[in-house]
Amino acid sequence: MNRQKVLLVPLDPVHDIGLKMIKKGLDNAGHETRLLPPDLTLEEVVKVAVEAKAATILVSRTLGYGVAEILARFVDMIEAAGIRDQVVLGLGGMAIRPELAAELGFDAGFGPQTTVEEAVAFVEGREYQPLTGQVAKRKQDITSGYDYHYLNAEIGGLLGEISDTIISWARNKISPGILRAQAREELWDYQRWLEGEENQEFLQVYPSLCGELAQNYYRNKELHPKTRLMTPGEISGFQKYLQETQKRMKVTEVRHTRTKPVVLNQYGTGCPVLDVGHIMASEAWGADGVIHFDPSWGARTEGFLEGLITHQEDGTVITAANLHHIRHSLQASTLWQVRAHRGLNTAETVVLAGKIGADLTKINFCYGSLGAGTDPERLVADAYQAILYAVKYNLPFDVVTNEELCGVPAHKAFAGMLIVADLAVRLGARPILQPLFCYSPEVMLGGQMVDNYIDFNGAKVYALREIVRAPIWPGAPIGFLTQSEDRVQSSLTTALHSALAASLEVDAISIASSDEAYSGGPISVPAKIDTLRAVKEAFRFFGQAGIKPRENSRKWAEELVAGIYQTLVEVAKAGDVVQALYDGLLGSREEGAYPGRAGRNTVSDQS
Amino acid sequence: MPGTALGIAGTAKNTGKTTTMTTILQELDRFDLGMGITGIGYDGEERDNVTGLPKPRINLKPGQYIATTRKCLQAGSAGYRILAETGMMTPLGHLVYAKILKEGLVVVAGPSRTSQLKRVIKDLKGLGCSLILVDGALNRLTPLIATDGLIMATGAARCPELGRLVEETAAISSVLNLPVIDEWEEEEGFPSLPLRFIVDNKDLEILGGFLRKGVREISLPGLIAKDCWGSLTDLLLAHESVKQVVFPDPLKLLVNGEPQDLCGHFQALKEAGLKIWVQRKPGLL
Repeated sequence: MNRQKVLLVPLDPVHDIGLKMIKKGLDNAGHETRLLPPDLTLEEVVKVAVEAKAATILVSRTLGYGVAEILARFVDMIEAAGIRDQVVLGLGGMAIRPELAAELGFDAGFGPQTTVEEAVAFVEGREYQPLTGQVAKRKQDITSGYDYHYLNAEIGGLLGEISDTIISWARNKISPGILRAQAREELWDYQRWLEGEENQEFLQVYPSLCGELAQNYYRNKELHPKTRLMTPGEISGFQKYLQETQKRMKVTEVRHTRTKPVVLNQYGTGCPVLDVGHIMASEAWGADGVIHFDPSWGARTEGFLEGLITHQEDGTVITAANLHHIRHSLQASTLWQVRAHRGLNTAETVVLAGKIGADLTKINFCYGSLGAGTDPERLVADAYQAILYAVKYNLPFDVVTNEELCGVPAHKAFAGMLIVADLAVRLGARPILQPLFCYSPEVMLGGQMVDNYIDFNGAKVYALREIVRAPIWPGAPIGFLTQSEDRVQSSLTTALHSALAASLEVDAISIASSDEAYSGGPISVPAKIDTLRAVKEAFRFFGQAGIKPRENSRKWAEELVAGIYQTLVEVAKAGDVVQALYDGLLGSREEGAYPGRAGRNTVSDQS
Repeated sequence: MPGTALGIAGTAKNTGKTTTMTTILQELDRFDLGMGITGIGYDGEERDNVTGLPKPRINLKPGQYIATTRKCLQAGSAGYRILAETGMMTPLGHLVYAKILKEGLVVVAGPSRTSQLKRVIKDLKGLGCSLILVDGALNRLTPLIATDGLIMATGAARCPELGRLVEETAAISSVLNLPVIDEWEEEEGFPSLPLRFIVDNKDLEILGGFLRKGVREISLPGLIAKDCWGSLTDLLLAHESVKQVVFPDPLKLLVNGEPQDLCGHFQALKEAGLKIWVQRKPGLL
């Protein structure tokens, strides 16, 4: 490495800190540097450059009106002085990009992200290898380190009793959903499907277990009216797009000095190709995982369709082909969640997702039956099997308390969540608690968020931590109902809720795009990037420092624990969780919880 | 080597250089001329790098040639075949020569140095281009000395007052039309002026010392600071032995001089009987 003569020229009257840092780096690397004062004329700079016989000239200047012309004139003057071929010219500053440097006639342009190492490499004439491979990003296990031990023995005891009753009730139950899950599990081979071979036995059995919509597909190739199959042209276009984009792909992280939380966002535009675009943008901007959203009509449909199907409205249809294509567009470090928390296909969803390679699922028969339209008896029976499949396929799952959004108070929703979680642990699964960080009907009426969004959300986490040692993953997404049409406000509230989550040291969070609350339909990539960037900046701002809930947070936590306990006492007393759901013990009609009807009277005992 | 290189320079950003180039491409398309294009900056992007305004984009037809970088070729929509790597580096990658196979838009990032542009022009002529268009960049001028002819684009982006703009344009034209000296030989026995530029009083003193030797012809450097022109003119007028002044080329003069001021100084020198020449120039079209 030769010792280079470098002239550092701050053409900016004030800001030369960048050059000073680069000078330090060059001096340390053994080069001869000279930093000019920032108020010389261009002619004076050229004169110094000629006399000093510098090999490299690094110019620093922010852009402003007329500045581009000044910089271009500088390059011309170096030419006019006859030394252009003897010097290498680099330009750096805010708003400087290689394209601009090219337009101005410099040999290289360095933007605000430039490192000192990059500048030194330029001076030495070698290619810069950025260290931003850093540590390769890896999938994180949200459940690691948790033993599900109950710190509140009374609640633990009640949950144990309740789980006993569920197990003895559910273990022999059969439904069309359970039968389809069995067929998918035993007769549908993913590898054969991949190789284009038909799973004959499966196709003989499956259609008759389905409802009308799916049957029409298998018999007559009729699809749901708002869907169509993707064309071969679209598929090959998709492959090309995927290949080209993945060549450029670099995953990033939004975390700064903390190692938690894992950050997930959702996709589900209806079109699997568009979804892949959204997912790749999310990965590139730091999302650790993505969550599949399927259409709401899927929950009322017995059975899955098949093929690479695109859907006109929001939600991407669950089919083996759609899941497969999405799964195989993911980066190795990206967590993938396919939800099975409501509807008539929950057990089969877990099987399909498990076979295709999902990392997580979502199961909660309380929410699914009280707030998402599925019949309680059906959903408890199916969810029991879904949990068993989740164990088989090693899929941790979150138990989300979305019924809070209907108006069910948190203590009841949490009781339901703990019931599902306890059952899960009993069956060998690894559940993740998902309280909501939201502006729920309960707080609208109760006033807990009149002053801030911190204390009540904090209370939820404290309450759960007082009960059990389990992973916590606030959703869904966080800040729900605090966002508005204003993208800045929306991004900021998401970012602040994320910072709260990080301060509380929860294990994961689900975040929304900044247009999710008010998009009226399609969610856009820029809006997804908005919130990922905002969250990243919030994590940068707070670092290891944090947000501290106030004293009333502890008070509310105690009230929540008491409320959970009381609810569980009533459910245990009822002796029948399914009946408890119908009777409103885990969320009443007055509170906005309505036991669902989809799948009513479809459960029977195995004979 | 047959073939002509035409430079399109501008007095500022957004004066219509690329629009001029694309118009020429369209108009001359019907003549089977073997056209090649390059540029001394970066053009073809959808939005201006500095202002963010939408920019014209360059459309090329099959059979035309381009000198740009690989990355830029990939960013365009034209189909192409790369003919050669040049090894010349730009901020956007190495320059390559390519032939257009399918009509489409291109992004041009070309050689920014005079020496590089000379080579590119030579190589494009060697590939068979009989007309090469060289897109300018901002108000940059000096590399275009490598071209055979120059189109100057100016307009409201330079100066919104029409009267002043016209005056300036006339002055630019006058400078660009300085005559080329037929033969230049330094006077025997006199050393050449040891200055690459005249930017401060020290340089003027050196010039003064040189002039005191009684030379009749003097070759001055191209880079002369705006502030030095007055003193320079005074020095030349004070030494009556000087009859001819030669500059390297008019483009270098325009880099640092205000066109109207330059014309004023040249006028004063001409009235005193001095002849002003340049060693070379691209003809102003």
